Amino acid sequence: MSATIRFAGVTKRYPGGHDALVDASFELGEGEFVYLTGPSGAGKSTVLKLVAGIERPTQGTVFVNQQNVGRLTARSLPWLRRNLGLVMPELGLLDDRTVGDNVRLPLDIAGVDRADAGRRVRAALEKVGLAGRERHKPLALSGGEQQRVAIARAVVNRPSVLLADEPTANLDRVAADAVLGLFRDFHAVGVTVVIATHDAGAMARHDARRIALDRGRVLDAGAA
Amino acid sequence: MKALRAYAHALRRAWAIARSTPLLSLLVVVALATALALPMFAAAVAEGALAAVDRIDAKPTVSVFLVAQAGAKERESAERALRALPGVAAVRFVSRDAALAELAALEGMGDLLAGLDGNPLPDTLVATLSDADPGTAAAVTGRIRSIPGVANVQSDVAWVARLAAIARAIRWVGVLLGALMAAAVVAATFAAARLQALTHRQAIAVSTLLGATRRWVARPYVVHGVLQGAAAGLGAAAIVAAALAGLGGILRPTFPAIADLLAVPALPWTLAAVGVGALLGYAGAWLATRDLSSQPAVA
Repeated sequence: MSATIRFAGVTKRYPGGHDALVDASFELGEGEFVYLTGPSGAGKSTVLKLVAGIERPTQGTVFVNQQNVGRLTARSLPWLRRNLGLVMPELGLLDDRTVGDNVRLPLDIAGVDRADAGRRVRAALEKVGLAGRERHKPLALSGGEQQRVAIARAVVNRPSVLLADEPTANLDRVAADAVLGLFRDFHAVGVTVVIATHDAGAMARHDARRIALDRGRVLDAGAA
Repeated sequence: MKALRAYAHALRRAWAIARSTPLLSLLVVVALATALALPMFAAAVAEGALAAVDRIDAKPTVSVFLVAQAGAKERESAERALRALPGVAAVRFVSRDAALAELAALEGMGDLLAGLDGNPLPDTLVATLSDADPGTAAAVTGRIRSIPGVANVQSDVAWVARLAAIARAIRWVGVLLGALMAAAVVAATFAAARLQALTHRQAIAVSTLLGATRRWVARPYVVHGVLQGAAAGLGAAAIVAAALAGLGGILRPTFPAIADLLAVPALPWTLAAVGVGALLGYAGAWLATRDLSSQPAVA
């Protein structure tokens, strides 16, 4: 199994001297389902940001699909991101646009034609259980439904890697299980899924490889 | 095909930007239209004046008034001397009786002239010059004065030259205003595009994280700037047309020829205004959005 994501001696130091990640090394294979676990401040979100090229490593290298993310130029970074599905707090839904327009956004960016995009948006919303809600505004939906819209947006462009940062935060157990079930479904069709979470209950109900982090250090890279 | 889809998407987003900030978009168009109208109006007036000068310049003339007691022999002698002068293209004789008849034909002059005992006008030789240059005209006029039998010389070249100078000055002011207002249009579009981008910073941040390029993020704002500039150009053409119509209406009873010259050909001016407006709108919006996606992606 080839590595889809590889961290080699990665340190991330933020301005002010705070080390969010220290000498982290691990590999994630193609089609793996992995939890990044640890308490707040462990470095889980930093790992996801480094993979998405939102942050650059201070030391070491981050490879995603054989590309050294730290060396990507501002021009080539968008092409990496189009192969990633992101579900992150930074990627909130756009309240002034409909659910359909929110989900369509990655397809508009990729230049997919309107008819095909419409079909794919409907299919993605159907997959997350929100068929027929295209014309609703996000604020008219519950927290769990909004999270599912964010997932639909993340997968609509058929990414090879799905990254989610605390996707079950603020959701009740039923909604959290529904969301994790969706990630399982995408994993089942070959998508590499990386979820940063400290929701122990959810992880227990949906067991998978865990990479444990604490204060920026990898405590346990888990079994691949 | 992808590029076309990207522009179609940018056009839809530009329309959404205009709808999300309708008052700002409208006020910017009004401000830009006013800024574009000022140099356009100056240019239109200057072009009208220069066209008038060109028409007059086609036949620069010098009126040579003969002494009152000049007989046919003296007139013929003066005419021969006049024709012999370099720079004189043609000479026409206007008798004092013909001049009086011409004057009497003017509205309101008939009653005035009826009260006179006799004809106070002199015989006149009207010389058409081959060159409208004020220097040449002054030299010719000086020589004419020394011809025996000549009482007075009046040239229309001097005031034509003054009018031309005024028109050139207006045109220069128009060019200066044009440059200043072009900078103002670029600055206004820049500020508006920045403000609109700031309003949509979350959408910009999300699009960037989803893989949008800088161009893709900036394109709707640039298209919006171009559309604003084009609309402002159209507005400026309408303002100038209305102003010229008003000015023409005021001048027509007294100076119909000048009023006619102020009727600027509508289509070329409108197209030019729309084109210039769009270009300046593009410049302002492009400058404002150059670094959009290099700003922190997340507010």
